[in-house]
Amino acid sequence: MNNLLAVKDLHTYFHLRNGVVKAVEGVSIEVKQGEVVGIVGESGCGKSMTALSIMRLIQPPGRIEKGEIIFKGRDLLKMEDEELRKIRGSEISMIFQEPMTALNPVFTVGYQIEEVLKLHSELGKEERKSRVIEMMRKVGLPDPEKRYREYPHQLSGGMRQRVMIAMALIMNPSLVIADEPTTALDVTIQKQILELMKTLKREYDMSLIFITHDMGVVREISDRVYVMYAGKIVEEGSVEEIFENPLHPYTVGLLDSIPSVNIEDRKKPLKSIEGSVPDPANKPSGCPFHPRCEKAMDICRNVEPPLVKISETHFVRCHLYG
Amino acid sequence: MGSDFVRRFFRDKVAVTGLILVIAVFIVAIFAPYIAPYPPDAIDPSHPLQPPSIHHIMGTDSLGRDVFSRMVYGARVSLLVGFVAVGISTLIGTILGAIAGYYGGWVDTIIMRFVDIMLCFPTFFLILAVIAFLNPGIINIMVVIGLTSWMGVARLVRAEFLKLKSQEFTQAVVAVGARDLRIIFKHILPNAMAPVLVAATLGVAGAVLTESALSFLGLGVQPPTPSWGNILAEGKDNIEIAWWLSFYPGLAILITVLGYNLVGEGIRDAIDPRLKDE
Repeated sequence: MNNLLAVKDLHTYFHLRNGVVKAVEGVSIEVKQGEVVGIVGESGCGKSMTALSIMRLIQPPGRIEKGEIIFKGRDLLKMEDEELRKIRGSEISMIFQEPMTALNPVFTVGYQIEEVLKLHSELGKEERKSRVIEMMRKVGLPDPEKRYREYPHQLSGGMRQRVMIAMALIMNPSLVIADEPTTALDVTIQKQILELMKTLKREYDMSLIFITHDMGVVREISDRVYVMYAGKIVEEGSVEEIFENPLHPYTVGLLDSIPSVNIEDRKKPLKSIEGSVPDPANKPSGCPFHPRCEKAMDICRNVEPPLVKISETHFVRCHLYG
Repeated sequence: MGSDFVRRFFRDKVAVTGLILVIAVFIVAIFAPYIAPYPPDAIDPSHPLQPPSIHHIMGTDSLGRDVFSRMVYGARVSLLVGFVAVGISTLIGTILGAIAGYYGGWVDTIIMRFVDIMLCFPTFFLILAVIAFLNPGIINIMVVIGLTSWMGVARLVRAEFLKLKSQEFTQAVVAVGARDLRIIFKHILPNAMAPVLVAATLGVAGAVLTESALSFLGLGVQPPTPSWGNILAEGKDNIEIAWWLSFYPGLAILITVLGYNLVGEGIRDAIDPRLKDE
């Protein structure tokens, strides 16, 4: 399997008045054809910025400083705006976190899905409409002919997220980036949306980058997982490697903080990781996780750990394995 | 959004009332020759400053002209000036404000400093100065009012764009591959129109008032062509003995301004379904 997308050494910085915020610092990610890649981490670890960088949606004062984003053999960062525009929405599309605000309130949902076809195809009016209605049915919107004429505010959060999914998939893209698509939804709806995405992923044979802070969701959907902390990848591996044999103390901490369904386990207090994500404008020296790490050694304070290879697919950035 | 918008607008009784006022003034302006009982400039020296009566329902002025007939023709001038001037200022203000707000950076700096420069001039004296060079006349007045009153709209639109461009739906349309012009004018602008429409209705009122003031000073619509402004100006000379010369033009301006305000608010509610249906 070839790489559909290869992000290499991506650096995205925000130049603010009181300093430079290094939101993404040397992230490398690979996505193969048909693969689901999960990116996990706490809020502020740079996972959304990585996603936005791939689509080149970073707005000033943010800027992509360095790196390559190779999609189907071509560097998106070197592309002309017009070329990139043709790729956005048709070959790479994005599902946003907040279905409440990601749809334009003044247009009907049917119009907004149809617009993607207007931008990227030569289809006639009737054909577009029937494709939209078909897509709305596929994402499980009941009564699509009626929904077609409704405004976003008339739909529930879960239905709006289905509309976003319909917009993202209607051009049959090879890569879909989903930025916390289930975070803003109720738990029961989360489950439905997750199942829907799994079904559609199989049907459309697309690759998916799934960004979330929820380890349970990652396990459910991903083939491979990247764990991010303070703008860097701290561990990567197959979903089995990450969940059965987590190596980085941060990954271990994330897994320990999931409530268990097992009654025996429930008697023990739920663990949490002490402290919070460092201020990205003022990151600790050495390993950025050392102030919160139970196993921190002297070297961690001064020397940044390299990415250590554990197996063909499993890598970890920690001095414990160096 | 077309038919939904119309349906929501007509459900709003206050907005419909405003629309009726506006349409009434429009009908009067369009059918002026059929409504006015006398020619607007027919002088009758034997009946100057007659109070309202069966023959002259709004009385006569100092030259014995029928005030009602002059008011009816004056509606044409006021509406034309109001509409064209606001049309010009809204167009300029919207385009410049949208570009400044969307692109930001040096584009924004240049446009907004230009706005500041324009705002430095006392608008009314700027208009006076320009009109003094050009010939006073209805076309010049419309253009000059339009060219000197777009700055407020530009600021409003820019502020709305600054707010809207960071919202997720803007990012979402960029992410589906829309071009800048489409994003600016099709997706963001309709969301930014509500305050512009309110500003435009007030702008109509403002333009009507500016036209009146210019006419009053003899730099506006030239007699014998009637405008509410120059009837009002004439009324001022005789305000102690002929109240009707001031009262009716004032009432006409009030009704017109009120009508536009109600319509503007109705449009705002109808264009933004969230405000109504929930």
